[in-house]
Amino acid sequence: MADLEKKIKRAIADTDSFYENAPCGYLSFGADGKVIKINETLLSWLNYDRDEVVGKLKFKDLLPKGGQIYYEMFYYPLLQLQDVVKEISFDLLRKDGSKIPALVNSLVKLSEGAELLIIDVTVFDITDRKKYERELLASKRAADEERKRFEFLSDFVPEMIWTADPSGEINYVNKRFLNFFALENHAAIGNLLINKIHPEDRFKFLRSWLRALESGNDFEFQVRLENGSHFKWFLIRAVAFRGESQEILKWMGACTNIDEQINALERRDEFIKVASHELRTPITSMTVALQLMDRYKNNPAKMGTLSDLIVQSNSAIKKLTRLVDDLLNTERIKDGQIELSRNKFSVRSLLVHCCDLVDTERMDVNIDCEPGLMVLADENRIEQVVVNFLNNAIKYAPHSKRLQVGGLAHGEGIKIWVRDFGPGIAEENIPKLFDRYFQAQQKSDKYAGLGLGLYICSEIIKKHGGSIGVESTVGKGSEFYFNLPI
Amino acid sequence: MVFAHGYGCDQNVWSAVIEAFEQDYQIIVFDYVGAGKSDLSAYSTEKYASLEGYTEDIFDIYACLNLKDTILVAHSVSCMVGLLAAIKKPELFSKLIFIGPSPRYINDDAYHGGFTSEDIDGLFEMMDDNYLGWSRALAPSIMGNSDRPVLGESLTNTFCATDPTIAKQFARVTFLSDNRKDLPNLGVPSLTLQCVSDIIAPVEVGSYMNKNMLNNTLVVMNATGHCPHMSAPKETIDLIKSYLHSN
Repeated sequence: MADLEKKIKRAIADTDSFYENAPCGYLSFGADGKVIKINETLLSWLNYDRDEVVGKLKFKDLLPKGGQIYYEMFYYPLLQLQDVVKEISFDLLRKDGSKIPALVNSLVKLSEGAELLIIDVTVFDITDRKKYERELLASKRAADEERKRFEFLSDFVPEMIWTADPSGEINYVNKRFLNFFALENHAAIGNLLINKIHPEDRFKFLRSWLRALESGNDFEFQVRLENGSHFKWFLIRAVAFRGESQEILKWMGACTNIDEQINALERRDEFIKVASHELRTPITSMTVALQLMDRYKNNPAKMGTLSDLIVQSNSAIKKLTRLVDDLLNTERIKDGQIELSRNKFSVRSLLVHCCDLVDTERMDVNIDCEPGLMVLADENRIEQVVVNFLNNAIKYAPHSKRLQVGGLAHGEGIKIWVRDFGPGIAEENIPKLFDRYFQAQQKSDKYAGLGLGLYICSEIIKKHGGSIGVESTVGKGSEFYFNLPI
Repeated sequence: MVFAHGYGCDQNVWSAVIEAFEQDYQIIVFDYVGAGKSDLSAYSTEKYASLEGYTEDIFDIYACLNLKDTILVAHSVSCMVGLLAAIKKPELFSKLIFIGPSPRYINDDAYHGGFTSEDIDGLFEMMDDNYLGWSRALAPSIMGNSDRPVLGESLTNTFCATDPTIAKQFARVTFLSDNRKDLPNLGVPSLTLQCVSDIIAPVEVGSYMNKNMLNNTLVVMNATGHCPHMSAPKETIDLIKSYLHSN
């Protein structure tokens, strides 16, 4: 029994066997660098026999040239300065010259005189780790590349692009996004976006966004975003980007400027409202006239009233005809169907005729035009334009007593103008004047009409190859003009 | 007496030799910008893109401490930094001591610098490996970090820990520089301490320099390796002292 215990103790105490067959390499070298001791594990990794190494090779000899430089410049000074040098990665050379990636820990043993005596080295084979490191690094580089490509593309497209983490926190926005909100960088963008949404849209937006975050469904919402001093309509969209197991990795989002479209729709709605109202007035007038005529038709005492009612109906029909003509003209222009029939005519005669057509009784009208000035154009269409100018001047400058109309040779063509001395037009409205459905003061019922007049004028002049414009000063008046080639 | 450390470490490398000179000289040790405990924010990739940037460090120290007529002891790449400084402002230096100098590390036709370009690439790879390798104790956080992985070694090997970008640029400047044409321009007398079997600066390089410089004394030491001031401080001290006494 005691014999067995002794045997076991002896077996356990066999540290040599532990040393030789450890799962790591052991090596010791002296101050001159020569290997003093090496274990079986390391020898087998390096494919050397013990007597080829011990007393013959230096530790440095096991390193490739780059490693030797590293040894001299970093590793050796470190050994001198520290007792322990941990985890330096060296490639070790096998006997056949192939390399084995290793992690080297070193422990320095000093003599009593503090001189370097022995360096004990522990070597770990990190072939596998190296492989993972490389793969990890490669995939990190690939991911970086991918991210850069995405950022490049997203800066290139004209939309505002953003991404958010699965919780909805915005973690990337493109350059256009930064520029729109005049931001330098991405910091604190999450709260900022919410604050830039119009207060009336904010709550609904948040509710809808949170619902999308929860459900993972595609998100789409129209909001007004603050842009400097005013708001613009944007369509905010987001889709969940999912991983292999369908979990949401991130949200990809875009903000599209739909201000133009929304405004166009609003203008169209407004137009339909105005048009219905405009059409109903003469219809009502005619309905009333017809009812009365029906009632009076057999009453000889009312014959005088009857003729008044016929005049009223005719006037209503005329108004209706004009409105419908405007609408038809607009439709034709839109479809490019407008045809010109040109003839040569006197500009002065045209202007005089136009002034006769409109109600200028209260006005002092001054026509300024050479009698000999001629132009080749569609006389009826040009008349339509001048009459429109005159009617506008009377309508929008009711308190102005003067009106100037003129024509002259101008460059290669002629110029015709109508000048009023009314309130003028605000600068911001001028560019929109010739748009469809635009009216100077839409909110007021005072200026009835479809708001198509100037749009039609501008299309007629364009068709002639001319140009149309206005010069106006608030408080002084406006001059509407057009140029035509002769 | 000013001691300029070589590439890869800091002023601590001089601890075994400076004591021997403290009696007779005022001793100055320093870290180049980017090394040791220097202010890393003072580092600029443009300034330190050539050895001239490091000579500016020397001039700054000299101006600040009002030093002149000094003995400059320089190790490794510092030798060329000191050489350039002494050509530009010879009045600051009375003698130069070069330990393991080399004006050009890469072989070039008949010139034997000791290395091929591939060897140097191997070193750069090795440096990358050691900054990329993660410590056994730490989980790899390489993915989370945008540019730089966690530096396992810097936690354990405190002495020569430097910013990896700086270390790499310094290595490039060191190993890709060529100062052979500057050698004849040095007027200040110099001593070269040349180790046998120094792979960084082989004996041929020491002889080449000796041939191409005025007033240069070449001594081949018994010490081996590239750092005799650390591996054989006594021999180093004795040789410097005897040179200073006899000249």
